[in-house]
This record gives sequence, C-alpha cells and structure tokens, in this order.
Amino acid sequence: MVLKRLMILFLLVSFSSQALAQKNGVKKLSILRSKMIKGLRKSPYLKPKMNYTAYKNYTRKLARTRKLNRRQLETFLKLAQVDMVLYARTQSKLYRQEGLNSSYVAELYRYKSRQAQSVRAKIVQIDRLLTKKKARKQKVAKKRLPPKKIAKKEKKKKLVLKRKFSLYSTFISWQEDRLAKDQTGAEFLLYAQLRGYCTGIAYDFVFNNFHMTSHACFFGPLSTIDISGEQSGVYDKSDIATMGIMTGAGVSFDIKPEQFIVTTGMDLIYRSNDWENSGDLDVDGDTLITLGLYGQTEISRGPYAFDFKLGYGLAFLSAYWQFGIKYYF
Amino acid sequence: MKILFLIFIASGFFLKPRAYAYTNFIGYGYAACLTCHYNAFGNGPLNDYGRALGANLIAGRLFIPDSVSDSKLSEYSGFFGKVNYKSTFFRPSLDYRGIMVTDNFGQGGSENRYYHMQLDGNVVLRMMQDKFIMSFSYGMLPEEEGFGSKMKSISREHYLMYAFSNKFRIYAGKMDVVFGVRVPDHILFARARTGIAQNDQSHGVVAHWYNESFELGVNYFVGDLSDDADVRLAGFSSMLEYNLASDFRVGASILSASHEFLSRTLAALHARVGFFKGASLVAEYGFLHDQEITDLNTGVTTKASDNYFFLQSMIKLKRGLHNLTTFERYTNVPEGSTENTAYRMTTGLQWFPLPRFEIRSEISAGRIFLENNVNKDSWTFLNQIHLWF
Repeated sequence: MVLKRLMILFLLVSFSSQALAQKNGVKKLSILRSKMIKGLRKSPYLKPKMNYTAYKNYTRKLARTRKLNRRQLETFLKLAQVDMVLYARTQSKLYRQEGLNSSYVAELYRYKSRQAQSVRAKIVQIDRLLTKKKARKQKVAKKRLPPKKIAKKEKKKKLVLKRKFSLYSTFISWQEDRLAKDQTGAEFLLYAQLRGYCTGIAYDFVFNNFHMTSHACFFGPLSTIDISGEQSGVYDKSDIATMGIMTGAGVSFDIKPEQFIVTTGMDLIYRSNDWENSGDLDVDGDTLITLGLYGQTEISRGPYAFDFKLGYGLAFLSAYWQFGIKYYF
Repeated sequence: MKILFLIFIASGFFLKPRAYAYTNFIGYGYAACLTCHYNAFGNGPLNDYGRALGANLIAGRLFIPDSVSDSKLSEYSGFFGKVNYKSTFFRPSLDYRGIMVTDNFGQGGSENRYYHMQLDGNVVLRMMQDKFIMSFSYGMLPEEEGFGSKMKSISREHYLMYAFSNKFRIYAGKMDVVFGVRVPDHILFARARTGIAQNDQSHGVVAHWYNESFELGVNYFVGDLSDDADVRLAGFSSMLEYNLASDFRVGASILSASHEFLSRTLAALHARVGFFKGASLVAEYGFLHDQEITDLNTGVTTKASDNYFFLQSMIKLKRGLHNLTTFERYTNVPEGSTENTAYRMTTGLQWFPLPRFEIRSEISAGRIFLENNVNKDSWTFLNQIHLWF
C-alpha cells in the first residue's frame, strides 16, 4: 500500500513537472519537480503510513529516480495512466499540452478501473484539494490583512469602472394583433408576425459585477412581416418588407465575471411598414411604437458572446424573442 | 399542404423526449460520449465512470449531509449501491422518464397529459477487460395519443462491441443510427423530423475511430428487423468530429437511406462549445431531401428539400441546477410549393437535486410562418421526471 501511494506521488510529480516543463523550459524541470514534491508532501491524502523522516527521505529518493525497477514498473502499469490522466483532467493547461482527449480518459479509466478503485477516491480528493487550495490561500491572506487595508482594498475595487463597446446581430421575432375596417365600419381582427435580423451596437458601463447597459439595433433589409385574419380569407399578406429600431437600457449582473451575464431591462420598439391595403379593407398601425420588458442571458468565450432574450411588448400579442452573437471590442 | 405542415409540426409534441446522453456536458470538459457511455456516440447505458461522474459532479446534494463525501457518492453510484469494481462482468441499469405536457399553456383550452416516455431495463456484459461488451436494452414504447397505439415492449437496442485497440472498435447489432449531435430532446425538429429520434434504432454495424484530434464513425444499417421488410430504412451514415480545442468540437454528418417508398438524404454540420464550467452551446444545421412515393397505384412521388437549425445553451446556475434554452427552426420546402417555416423557443430549468434523479421544467413557444396564414403562438409547458438506477 505504501509503495502504491508513493508511486502515485512519484507519477503525479513526474507527469506534472514534465508537462509544466514543456511550458517553462526543460532547464527548470528539476525546480518544478521539487516544487511539486514539496506541495504534494503536504497533502494529507498522499502521506503514507510511515514516519515523517522516512517519508521525506523516500520522496527525495523518488525525486531522483530515473529508472524504475520491475516492481515499480508493474505498479506503474496498474495505476499510472489512469491516475495521471485523471489528475491531468483537472489541470486544463496540462490537459491541452499533452493533447489528451477525454476519450482516452474513459478508455484508460475503464481498462484500469479494477486496479484504480482504491486510488480513485484519493485522486478525486486531490483534485478538490488542489482547486480549493487557491481559494483557501486567498481566504487566509484576507484574514491576515488589517481591517483598514481590507476596507481600502474594497473601496478601490468599487471604483473600478470599465466601458465596454460591442457590436451585435440577432434574429428577432414577435406577434402583434391589428384591426382592419371595411367601408361599412365593420372590424376584423388580424394577426401579424415579424421575423428578421436586428444589427446594432451596445454600450456597457461596468462597475465590478454590475453593469448599466444600453443598446440600439436596426432591422430592415431582411426583415418581413406576415399578416392574416383570424378567419382565413379576410386579409392575407406575406413577406411584407418592414423596418424599425429596437433600443433600450437595462441592468446586468455578472454571475460569472466576463463569462455569464444576466440582464433585465426595457426596450423601446419602433416598426414601420406598409400594409398594402387593398379593396375596401383598411388595416391600422402602419407604424407601431411600444415598450417591452425583457430578460436576457449572455455567455461569453473570449470577445464573442451569445445571447438569448425573451421579452414582452406591451402592444404585442405574444412574447418577442431574440438570439444572436455579440462581439466585444 | 398547410394543414399537413401544421400536423407535421404539431406531431413534434407527441414525440416525447427521451434523454440519455447530455451533449451539453462538453461545458464540464467532457467532449467525448465514450467517457460516460458504453456506446461511443452516446445514448444508452452509462458506464461506471459516467455514473460516478453523475453522482459527484453533475447531481446536487439535496438532503445529503456534508459528512457524506462526493467520492462516497461516486462509490455508491452503482445499480446495487456500492460499485463492485472487482466484479466488472455484469452491469444492469433501469431508466424511467415521465412527462406532463400542458398544451395551450396560459391560453384557452389548456389540457394536461402525462406520458410514460421511457421504462427501460438494460444489462451490459463486460469481458476481456472491456474489450468485448454486450449490451441489451428492453423497453416500453409509450402510447401515441391520437394514433390509437398502446404501450408495448420492444428490444430498444442489443449489440456487441469489440475494441480492436484503444482507438478502433466495431459495434454490431441494433442501436441508434450515427448522425449529428445526440441531444437529449427528441422533440427537436432536428431529431423528430429527420427520422433519427428515440425509437428509430436500426440493425447494422458501426465502426468507430478516434484519436487526440478527431472522432469518426461509419454506420451501415439495414433498418429495424422487427419492422415490415418494405419499410426498413436501410443505408449508411457517417459522422466526423474534429477538436478545435479540448472543449470546442465541430463536426459533419451525412446519411443516405431508403426503403420501398422513401429515399432520404441528410447532411448536417454541428458545433459544440464549452464556455465555462457547466456552460455550453450546441448548434446543428442540416439539410434533408426526401423523395417519397405518395400514391402506390400511380407511383406518384413527391420531393421535399427541408432544412433545420437548432441552438441549445446550457448554463450551470448552481451544482445540479442548469438553465436550458433552445432555439430551433425548421423549413419545409415541398416541391412546387412555397416554403413553410416553424420556429420554437424553449427555456427552463434542468435540476438534478440528488444522484439518480432529474427534473426538467420548461416552457416552449412555437411560431409558424405559412403562406398567407398567421396563427397565434402555441405555448406548451413541459414537466419531466427522470429516475435511473
């Protein structure tokens, strides 16, 4: 058991240091190796049941080991690939450097699952430990700061103001109801629905995790509106060219800074088209102005973001939808 | 034609979703289906790793005390509780899904219907250190309301898999056809309309290759042998996925199949992108060309060239809780007729409160663009429960 644990330690160290060495240069390999050993030595999960001095000496010996003996090699074959890959999975940079694919993880895990059972839980715990380590350090560092400094730091943080400018293009669609009158004054209810693409700009004032956002987009060339009576045959038109503007403002919250933003706000929507009145029917509302309330989610990857928006226009029949792509400058 | 199209679209709601694989989990860093499933293209039973992962990463910890560690949950993710890694031969599983569908939600004449979507039992037999696997799933086909069918049992899949190496394996038997992204929602136009939905498994052979940068599948199939011989859709399909990054995959698929009355060609491009832990975007754009004999006496054929698009985002709100939003479009272009387009926007929550338990609650709005005809949006409220053991 002790050997097994030490082998895991050795393999993790070797693998991690080699992977890191690719990035930092081979010359630093030995430094990284010793750093990793130092770090892992503190891990309560990896410490074998031997006294501290013996353990310390053994890990030093391991750190110098170049060639594995047969027993070590067998242990390696049983445990190495699975554990190394599981470890690497949590280290995204290493993961990429090694070109490891999650398929491999599955394969290796499955092939070695019988042997890996005893170490799997430990590996998971190590992963958790490593990911929590940073947060713990920050917490400790924060505790050590005198209250005045914390206040100062937080005050500074509050004053951070960024401006973000972006271009966006979205698909847009809504439904509205219109009234048509014939010459006798009789009224008919019509349904109209629009689909198109709205392209425009957005401007954000970012106060840490809180944004004030404004946007304006124009829909025109590729946007059309269909209209028909509640009962068929009254008045039917399709693909009527339409144009308009959708502008608005809202407040956003960075649920995950720079990655996931939730926004709520208000839109002002203007639409204009010609209903091409024919015969004795006169359709109202060639132009429409309405307010809308909306909710929006946005997820980002680098400068690109995708957003989904669902809103309710006061003069609309149903919800309006928007989804599209945004580019931040 | 418009009425046909309306029925065509509305029928999507009768095809109940049956979720297995969660393509969206690329947001957790899991790009390949093989990581969690015995089938390299996803769907079907989970392997030990998938079950353990579901318990300690995906599912929440409602009512689970802090004293129970995540690794303990993983250890107890097996069918019989604690996973017996010493005996790997026999791996059974059970799956149940039910859904409450509320049509015309918030409008007049709303109606609730409950469906038992899925009740499957599966056994996987693993041999030769997983080089050779046999999988058998026996399940119930749900009732199709309005189609007069009753719940009946079927062998949903049964196949053998042999891994010639870590990178190459062959599957033979009845299984899902390899094409596109296997999203959990089978009501999506991309699945329901292309004939590769939850009950469209086919007998055939699948070859699967992968390495660090790509994954390729080729499928030759002869149709479901339990169907009548003249309606067995036989042909081939293939899918290639390429890794642009560890959490960014793009892919392409093709399918060509026919039976006595129908000749079908499908092609699609897709992308799966992870944004941050638990957040992802899946998109697919596809073309469908059907040539169908509509009149047996005269041999008159109709052709249709359709296309579809869907975009689905998954965002982790907290452990076990996700927001799912789907936008989809389907354009039907019958030969010699004007095109009809349907849009659907669905948003809601997917909650795994604790291992082996999933709840989904979503609202869906459908909007259809027909020539000279505008109908009010159709709103549907979907509440789904999923249990697996």
